[in-house]
Amino acid sequence: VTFRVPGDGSAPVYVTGTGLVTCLGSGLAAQTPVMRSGRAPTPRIVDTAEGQSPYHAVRHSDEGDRLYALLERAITPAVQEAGLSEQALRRTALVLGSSCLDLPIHESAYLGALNDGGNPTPIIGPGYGTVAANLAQRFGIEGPQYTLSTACSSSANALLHARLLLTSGLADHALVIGVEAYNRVSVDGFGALLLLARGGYAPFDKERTGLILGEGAAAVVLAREGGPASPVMLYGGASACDSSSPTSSHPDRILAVMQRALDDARVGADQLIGIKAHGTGTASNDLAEGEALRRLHPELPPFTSLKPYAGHTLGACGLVELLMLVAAWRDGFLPATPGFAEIDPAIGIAPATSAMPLAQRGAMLCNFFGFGGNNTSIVVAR
Amino acid sequence: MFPLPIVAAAGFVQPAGDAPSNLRDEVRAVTPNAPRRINRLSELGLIGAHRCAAGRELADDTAVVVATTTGCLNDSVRLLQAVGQRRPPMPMDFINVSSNMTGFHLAAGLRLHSSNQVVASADFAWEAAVEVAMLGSRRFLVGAIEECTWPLEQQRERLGLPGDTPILESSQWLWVDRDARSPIARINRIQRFQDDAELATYRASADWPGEAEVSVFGTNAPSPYSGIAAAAACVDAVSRRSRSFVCMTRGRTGQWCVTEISAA
Repeated sequence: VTFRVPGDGSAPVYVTGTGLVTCLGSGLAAQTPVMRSGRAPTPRIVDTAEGQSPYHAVRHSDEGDRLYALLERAITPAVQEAGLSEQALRRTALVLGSSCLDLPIHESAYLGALNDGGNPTPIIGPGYGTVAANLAQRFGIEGPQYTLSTACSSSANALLHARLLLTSGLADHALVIGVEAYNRVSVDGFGALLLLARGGYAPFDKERTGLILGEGAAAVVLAREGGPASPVMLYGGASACDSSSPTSSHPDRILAVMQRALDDARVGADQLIGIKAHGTGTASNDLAEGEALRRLHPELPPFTSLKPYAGHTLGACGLVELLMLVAAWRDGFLPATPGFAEIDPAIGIAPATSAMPLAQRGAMLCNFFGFGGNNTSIVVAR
Repeated sequence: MFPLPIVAAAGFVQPAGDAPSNLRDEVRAVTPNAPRRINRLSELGLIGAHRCAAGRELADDTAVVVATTTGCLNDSVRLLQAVGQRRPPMPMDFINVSSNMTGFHLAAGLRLHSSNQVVASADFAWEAAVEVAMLGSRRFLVGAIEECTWPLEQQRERLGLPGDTPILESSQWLWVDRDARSPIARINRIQRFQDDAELATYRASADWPGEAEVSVFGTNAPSPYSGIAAAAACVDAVSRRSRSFVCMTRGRTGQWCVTEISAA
């Protein structure tokens, strides 16, 4: 990897603080034992409109609101680790990527009122920007606020926008956040689309049956400058609209966005030391992504899907899975894809089946795709 | 970053009546390939954006960026009601609740392959969307869309509005292209100010022409749509070929965002 000179307008930006909470625990270190084992944790079973479904829930005290509790557990350590002064924090930009936004709160209020025998109006006080505004107030941030909501690519797109804020000089620091909290709408919705797994979670496997949802929150502080202590650098990325289908991606468009991300980062596919696939475990995603990965380079570096470890955290997965990857990378390994047993002949390639050694320096590609034809790839480096 | 050359501007706005109007014919009037089974937010988006494009071909690297304050409210309400009634949701309601579906349908109709983003911000949704678009793309369609839900009294309760407050549905769009040869106007600046004093200092030194039109939003109790009102004002000013227009929006915490536009 040829490291570019910071300040050239398209330079990398540095992660200077991290916070992460998933079903595996809080913090990066809590993620690694299970990922090193290569075995997915046992999910809880939650009710759905049509029965029951596994779900990777975060252990929660049940006191107070679940959404903001998750956010607090992710943001506080990120801000502390970045060591921003009160003044610097005040000027920081806040960029939130989420698909659920505050729907879990509205859902809880609505169902609670129904259970009390009322006839409530659903969603009192709607606002896609409300969560970011509340977080800005809570953490004393007075910089610009952006909420990006592009389904499962939301927080990956938030990362890319934050990078542009920094490289363009519009902000010195950015707090980037991704969050997904349990809500029945998402579980029932994916159930109605017949996308929930009927058995275990097995991305890229011949017998894969769908996805298992999960909740989580992640936060990073990005800065234009960083030191060797920076856990990872955001090198570049791309987001593109694939208008071939509202719910699945076409291999040509996935290949195009991966290539654009690599071009933006000025990294060749042959220089990648690994790839974190989107790997939802659905028939269509893994088929399209697998074909695109196969065509990316004849000697494809090892790739994996992290979703079996924490569930598909939807709009939060861009940041949640990036930090899970960084946690493993810091410990020198690329996690295996749990559940994978047999190559799908239609895909023709296999993800990592055991934890693989990962060089401490190098670049990795991360894929995130969402409904609405939203394909995003980012390139990160250590 | 600035100026941003504006190729075209157009909007669609209608007062919400006692029942939802049928937007299907409006959609068919602006695009021959009107997608089926789309939600109201997307219908509003297609009407405004296609009026802005006006049948002209856009470069395929044109991004679509949508600002919204309340997003896909109709779908969200129906999905919650389904949960409350313990029945599965309609699959299309769940697909359509992804608010980037508007950009998807636009991109499909106009054969665009660039970025498709949905941007919100409590007080400055429109300005934030323009910023996201200008940092990420050389050319973009940027729009601000709000839909209404019915019954109207429930929508007013939802938004915290008094019982007789009129409600509008709106879709306001600008087409920006940094390589435009003959733009009709330019966005010269979008700037944020922390408080009244910082804004006053800037205004004292600002190089606004004497005839500049100034619109101010959100200075009193802010409407949920104050950010979107800024979009409507900007689109209107460009459409009228206003020589110089300044849009000033005040947020709930006293911050300001100023957008300066001039005719080309």
